Amino acid sequence: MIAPFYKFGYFGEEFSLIIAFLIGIAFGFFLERAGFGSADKLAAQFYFYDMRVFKVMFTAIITAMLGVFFLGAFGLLDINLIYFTPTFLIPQIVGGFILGFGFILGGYCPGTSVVSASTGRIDGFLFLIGVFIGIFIYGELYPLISNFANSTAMGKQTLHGFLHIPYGVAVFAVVLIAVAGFSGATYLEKKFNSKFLGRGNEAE
Amino acid sequence: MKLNKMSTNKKLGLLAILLGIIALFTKDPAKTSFVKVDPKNLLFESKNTTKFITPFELAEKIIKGTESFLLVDLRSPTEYEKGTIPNAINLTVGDLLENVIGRNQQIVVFSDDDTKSLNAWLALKAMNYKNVYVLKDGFDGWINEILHPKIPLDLKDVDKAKSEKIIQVSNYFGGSPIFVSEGKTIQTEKMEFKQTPTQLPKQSVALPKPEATKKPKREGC
Repeated sequence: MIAPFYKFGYFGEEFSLIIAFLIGIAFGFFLERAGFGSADKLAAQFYFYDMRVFKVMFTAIITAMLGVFFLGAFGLLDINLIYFTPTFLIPQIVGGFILGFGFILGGYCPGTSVVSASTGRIDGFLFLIGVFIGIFIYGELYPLISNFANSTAMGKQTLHGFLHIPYGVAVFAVVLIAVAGFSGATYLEKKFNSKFLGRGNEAE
Repeated sequence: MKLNKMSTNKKLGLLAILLGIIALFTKDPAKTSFVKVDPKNLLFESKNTTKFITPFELAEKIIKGTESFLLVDLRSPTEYEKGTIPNAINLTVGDLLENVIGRNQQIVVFSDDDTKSLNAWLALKAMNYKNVYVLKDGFDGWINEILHPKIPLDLKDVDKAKSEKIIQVSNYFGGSPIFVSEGKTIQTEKMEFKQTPTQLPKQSVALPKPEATKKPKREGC
């Protein structure tokens, strides 16, 4: 069998929804266990004294990247069939800023607000309601901003495709960036821990 | 405990770097095709007529605009410049083999005749593209059935509704239907792209405007 299983027709629509449900449950569970259900922990990364969000994200990125690369290299996964969102440069930068603003303001991103709400946190619920109001407003405004939302379309972009470097080199570079980011984050944690919490090297 | 934890992180970091170094020397997995083609299956599919899409079906697909698909004009660039189907892109069969199109994309290919399109279809199928369709009778089919369809004037009511629909679709693409009565052509003007054919009744049903770019289906988080 070659992955992606759904695209190759190994299972149908219904079964893929069941799989999606199970993966979703596991995803939420691990987000909660990583501490992503708490706005305090999430916001801490903006003050550099607890960088676990950054670390978990980067771990997920390089795990998935290496997994996809080597599964592809071993012929177990057809990389060309993986869906990824097309790039609309300027709209996505603007969207990123809006999301970041909301993240700092509310302490959650959309996914983690669901995790937070499911653990019964009131701020999580309120944030989630805000998310839906935002989706509604965006949907209603879409006809007005559709020109902008579809501008600077670059199609499907990959790091190696954009920089014209071999795929393997891009993989290696991202691993190096992640490892450097990890050490940098640990350094920042130690430094800012004492500043914000009056503690020394007690990050974990 | 603390030391142990640190070393696990470092071990994992080292493992990641090691895998990264191996990746440096690994052949690009996106360019390698591991697809095994079952010749029997391919032969069966090539005999199957479901790979064809009629010009009318394609026209409706474009008008509805609900599905995202790629329309590929396989003819020469000069012919493509002269006129093509809205939203079509001009590629050669060679381009198709270069993996320029995502394999999960729905593709409709057309050419002057079916031979070239069927070659492309076969090549794409062999590369395990899932949704490849061939426009029946190619661009000529498009001209004959959409831009200049023959509409018989003496028809029963049932057929009238049908030809009404064809006229609408033809108008949408700026075509001009040819009206035929008992084998004789009534409208014998030169076949050119016309915006509004003179003999037509006013359109009652408004068709949606064509959208330049379709919003692709979202699968992300």
